[in-house]
Amino acid sequence: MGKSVLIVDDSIFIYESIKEMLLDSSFQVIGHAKSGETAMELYDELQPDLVTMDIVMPDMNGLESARNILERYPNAKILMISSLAYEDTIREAEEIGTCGFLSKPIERDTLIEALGQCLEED
Amino acid sequence: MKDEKNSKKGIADSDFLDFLVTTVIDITQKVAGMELVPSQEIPHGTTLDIASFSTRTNGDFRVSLAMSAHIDLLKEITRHMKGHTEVSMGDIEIYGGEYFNIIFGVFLSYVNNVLHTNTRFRVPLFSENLYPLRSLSDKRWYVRALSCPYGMMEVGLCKLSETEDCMEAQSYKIKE
Repeated sequence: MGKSVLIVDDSIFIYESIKEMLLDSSFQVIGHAKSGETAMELYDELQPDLVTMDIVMPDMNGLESARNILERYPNAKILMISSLAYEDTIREAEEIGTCGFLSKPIERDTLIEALGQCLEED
Repeated sequence: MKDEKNSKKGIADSDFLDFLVTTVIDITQKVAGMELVPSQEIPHGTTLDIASFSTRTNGDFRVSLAMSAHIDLLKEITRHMKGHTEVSMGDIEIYGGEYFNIIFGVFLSYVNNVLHTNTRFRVPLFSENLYPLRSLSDKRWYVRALSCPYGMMEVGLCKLSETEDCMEAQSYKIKE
């Protein structure tokens, strides 16, 4: 079994896309949270190796959700994936302690490379 | 509509619309493999032929953003995103919403990087059978049309001051 990935994104399109991109790779999608709020519950339950996290979502945005997860699990590997990729947001994501930032729309090679880099941290 | 220049950067509001249009063309190509071209015409059809997505921003750059398009065009975009299967109106709302989400995210990232602002947007609102842009008496909207063989699309932005608000999409519901 490959490294496990939890996808946090309110979009079914992004979930399906990432799942398809990671087929035949060393990563395996094990869960999908559609909001920042449910991300923590699923993280507790699944304990994934990696998380991909959107920013614009209902209820709680992805930066808050990432902050919550990292406060509880400081070694969590969270890759931000958002179309809102500008200086302030990228800096905020870095300060929170996420391991990378990809701009939507994403491509397979870029995603796999970024997930691999997240695991190489530490 | 008065084309106000951003005092700090000398950027006209119409320049932002140019970038929004460029973003729509680029993202549509990447996400759906379709080529949209600028059009001088406006989309024709009944309200039943058209659906809309709209949102407003939170932060320093305050605008309402909207896109209205022929349903056949949105269906084709959704079909590409979903994987060439049957497409329902529910699919258009879900997949079209993400398409719209990416477009406005890329657009606002550009704005934020150019103006050094921190602006985000609300989760887009889907409106079936609505046609907000051309129904407006509100002259603050900048609107451009795009087309392809499947239909036409309009994208627009309305600059907001600290206190004012552009009308919500629901306000324009056209009664059949």
